[in-house]
Amino acid sequence: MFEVIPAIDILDGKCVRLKQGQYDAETVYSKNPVDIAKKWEAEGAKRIHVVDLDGARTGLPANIMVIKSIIKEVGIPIEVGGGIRNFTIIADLIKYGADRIILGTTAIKNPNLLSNVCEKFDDKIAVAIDAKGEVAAAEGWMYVSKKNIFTLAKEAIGLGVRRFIYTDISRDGMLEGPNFVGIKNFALQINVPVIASGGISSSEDIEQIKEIGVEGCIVGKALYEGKIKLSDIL
Amino acid sequence: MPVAIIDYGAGNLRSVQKAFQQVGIDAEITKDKNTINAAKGVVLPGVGSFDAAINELRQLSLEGVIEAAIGLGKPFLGICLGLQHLFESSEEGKQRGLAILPGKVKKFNFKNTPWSNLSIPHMGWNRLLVKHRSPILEGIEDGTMMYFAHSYFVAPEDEKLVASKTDYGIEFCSSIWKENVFGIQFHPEKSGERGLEILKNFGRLCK
Repeated sequence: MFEVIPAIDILDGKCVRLKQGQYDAETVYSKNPVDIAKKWEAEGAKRIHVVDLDGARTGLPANIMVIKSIIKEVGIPIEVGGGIRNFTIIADLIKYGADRIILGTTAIKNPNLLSNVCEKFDDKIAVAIDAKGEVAAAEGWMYVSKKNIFTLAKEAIGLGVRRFIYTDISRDGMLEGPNFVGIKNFALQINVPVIASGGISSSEDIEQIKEIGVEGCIVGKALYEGKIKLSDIL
Repeated sequence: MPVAIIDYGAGNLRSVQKAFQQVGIDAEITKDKNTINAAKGVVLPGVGSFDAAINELRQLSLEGVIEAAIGLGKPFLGICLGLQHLFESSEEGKQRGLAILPGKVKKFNFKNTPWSNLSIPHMGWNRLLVKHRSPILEGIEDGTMMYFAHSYFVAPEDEKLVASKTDYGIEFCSSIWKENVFGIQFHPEKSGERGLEILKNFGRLCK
């Protein structure tokens, strides 16, 4: 029982990958993220992870229409993150059919909102733990909070959060392999499902992450660069 | 040792052990017969496929150890695949299960039903509909959400064994109880505080 989840990161309407979240280190893979979503679906993905990078940076989602097109045009569940920081947007996306909403900065800065949406939308809400060592980053990873990731996660569970996405931001987009120790430490201490992300570069990496006992992993660059083929692992 | 967690290569045992520790119960991951015999309670976890896991259990000669523990009246908890192994057979494989309880393991099949859009495996949070409150469900409210990750579910012959059901297209059996034998389809170690409560309840029986 393990999900391999392709990531589609959208910057200025295009499907891109960044390195370690740096906005000046982008590679454009497609001008049409909807086509990419359909491609991952056709290759057997059971879920897609979509991030509005403009939104993550500015706090104002800029690619909602593209994301809605993806939700409408593919049949598999879509999880959405990036700059989603108010109730209206969350409710709107869920109403439109988003399977899961991922909150990052909001979880750090706005516990009231987090607890509200968890009460209303239950396990449709997931929190992104963007780890730089044991400290959580926010706002498109440009800002490192002083919050310890374990403290943050435990507080979030107390507010009703039922799922986390753990990303080691020093590994993301580097194709250098994930931080297995970091993922394992996090998953072992947190008694709700965890999805791992950041640096997954090969089928062997995926096998090793499976052993840790996380719910799934998100794969980005390695898929776009052809280092991992969905058909080989699903 | 109060609780022995049987290590039969089923993966993911550390998180079960860690969860027991979090509620103050010592639990050891082991494949050693003497350790299992000496434990006050036994946990059979399980992630993986029915046949591979049951073959491993037999290869390690642990089938008899489990039967003995249950026969002696020790609290026994099967989690996920560990619950499924308590029954006679599974649609997942050809091997005979431990056959401690009558019934078989079935696969979700939503073809030609109104629920054909439901994905298999059933992965995620879902509600417990309590039927008979077993001792390990003490303090767990009807409707509590637990975390599931499975494609197969148990169908006990004796409906009285069913402690709770869960609705995923159909109402399937999500936990069982017969005397000292408990089984849960969901993952208590991933079900937050309420999940830990169940392990605590089980640990309390292992005295």
